[in-house]
Amino acid sequence: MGIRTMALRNLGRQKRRTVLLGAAIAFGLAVVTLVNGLSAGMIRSLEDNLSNLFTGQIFITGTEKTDNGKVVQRIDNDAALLKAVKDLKIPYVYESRTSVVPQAGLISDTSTAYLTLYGVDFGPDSFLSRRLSLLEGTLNLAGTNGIIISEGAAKSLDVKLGDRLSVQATTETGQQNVVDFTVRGIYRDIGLASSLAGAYADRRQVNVLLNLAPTDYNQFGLYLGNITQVEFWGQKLYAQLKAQGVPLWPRSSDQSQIDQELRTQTWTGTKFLLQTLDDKLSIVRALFSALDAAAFAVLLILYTVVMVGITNTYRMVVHERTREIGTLRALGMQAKEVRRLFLWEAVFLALGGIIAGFIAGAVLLGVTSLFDLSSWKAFTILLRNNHLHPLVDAGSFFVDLVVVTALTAFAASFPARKAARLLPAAALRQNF
Amino acid sequence: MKLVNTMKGLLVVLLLSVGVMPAIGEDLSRFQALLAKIDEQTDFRNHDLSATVTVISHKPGEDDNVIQCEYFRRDISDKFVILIKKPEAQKGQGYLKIGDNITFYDPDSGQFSTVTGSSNFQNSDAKNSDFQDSTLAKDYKVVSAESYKLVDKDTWKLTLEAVRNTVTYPKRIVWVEKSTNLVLKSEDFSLSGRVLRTSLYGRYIQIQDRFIPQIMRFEDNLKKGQVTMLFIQNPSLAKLPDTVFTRAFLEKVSQ
Repeated sequence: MGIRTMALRNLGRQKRRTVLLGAAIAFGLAVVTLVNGLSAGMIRSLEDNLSNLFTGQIFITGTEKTDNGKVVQRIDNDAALLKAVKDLKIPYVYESRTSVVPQAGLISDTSTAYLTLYGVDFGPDSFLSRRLSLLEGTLNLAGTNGIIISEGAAKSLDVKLGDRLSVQATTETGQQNVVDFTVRGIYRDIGLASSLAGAYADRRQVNVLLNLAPTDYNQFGLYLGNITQVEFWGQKLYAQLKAQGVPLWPRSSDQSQIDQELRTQTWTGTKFLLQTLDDKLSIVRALFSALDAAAFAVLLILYTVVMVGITNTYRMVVHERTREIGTLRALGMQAKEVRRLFLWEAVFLALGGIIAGFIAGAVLLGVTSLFDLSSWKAFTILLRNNHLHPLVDAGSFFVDLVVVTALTAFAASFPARKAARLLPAAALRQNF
Repeated sequence: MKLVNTMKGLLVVLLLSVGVMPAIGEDLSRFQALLAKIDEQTDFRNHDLSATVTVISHKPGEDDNVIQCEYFRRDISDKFVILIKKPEAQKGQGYLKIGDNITFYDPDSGQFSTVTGSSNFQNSDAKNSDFQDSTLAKDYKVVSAESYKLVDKDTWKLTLEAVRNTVTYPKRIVWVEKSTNLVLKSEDFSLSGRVLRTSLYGRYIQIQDRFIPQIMRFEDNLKKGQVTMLFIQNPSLAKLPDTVFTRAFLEKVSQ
């Protein structure tokens, strides 16, 4: 009989003890699988939802500096950008040309809401038609003064379809401007802060508000679909533009640093700023990473407690099986093999606990995704179709598997070494 | 609210019941010189100015928001500092303008952030640029002028157009008292030609050869019923230390 078979059999001899130890390991792993799965799913949903809101995942903004030091965001010639995208054969789902108005004041007869207004190109292939969940109205506003707002904005402004909204904003050069829009669509809330939950209107109308030429815009966006490819293509595009001699700002996710550079530096012509969704979400991502790290720290604390339990249990096991060890040694089993026997027992125990814990965690994740959380307004941005969309990451499962197995084996190594050092004659003489 | 209504009533009665005199043709270059005169009279180029400022903003359906602050201005180097003293929630917040840059200090985060002159001051209808010296002659050209009876005061009603596309209001109409060359009323327009704000300036006091309005009233013409009153009290031309116009000053006094 091989050592591993013996180890498995030994685990079966004390079923209750094995189940309890395994359950402790399984519990820890289930918790970590649950936390990791939920946080990974939430951040993916956040990325997807914001990709739709921001009209892309890779963004290029054109910046110009006026004679009196004002920064104007404008792209009036995108030939170099399109060439770079074409040369690289970037596999994008759609491209967008957006005129973004941060902090646009939407003024109704009774109230005012400040939010981001996106001037977009409407049409049958518009990304909005695929991405926004419209409650009422139309998504085709091409050539009209219509505006689409969120359910929450409509409520706070006390407006319905057909009502007029005056939109106040600062033009690209800093002048105050007001343009009237008519509410033509209301979309389902996605649980964003009101400043982020955007309003959408035809780009040409928004350009009137910003005092831009009808064909100009201030943000070029690429939507790749596959979020994991965004940073890769972002870097490639940056390198390609640089190789083409296009003036570029250094890549940075630190918005205050970018603002500082824009304010203090002087340049002529258009200088482009390339950012990815990762850059825009770096703070949120850091928050979720901290959550993952905290979950891992909790796991380590939990397992330290479990390891102490395993060490004590195996000391007891060695004590209980001293005569058995003496017999095995008398029959020719080497000290090294005795040590290995106990270590394999610990490894099998850990593997069993890990697999059970992982399955339990995955089942719990599956259960959490069944609930309709549409009433959970504040967190809708973290949901997909009003449901949690947990993701199980094979990489982090593998890390957990290695760490937990190693810790369990480490905890059992002390009693295993003690068992290996027992002299056969002394062990056989042991009386309890 | 009571105070706002009282002041509002006073100013509305005094300044808004207008009588119009027939427009007369005038040489516009003369009025361009008048803009320079207005700027000169309200410019404290040879002195520092300090005062206590109270801003009361009224929004329909909300309690009045009252903000008290200390105001320091040095026109010679185009600087001002505003330090908020009340209410407690905003105490220690401050603004520092040096040249074209205005920074806002938040003591809670200890961070400075850039704001613009066209941004509203503390969510009121006053703009940050309302605290700086007048630059009408530099920013605008007079496109029309007519004689106008504003309540019992003879005024020039001047229509101004911005000379650059970086000026906050592309068009303004100002009513200037003929006898004093002081602005009594202003209407500020958007690029699309809509009246955004109506401002009234009252109770000018003379400090040496310069003037400063003790009361300003800003009415938002887009947001119905939204009014801000701004009171300037205890103005002084005493010399201020250079350290007042620094970030370190805002950080220090907010502690």
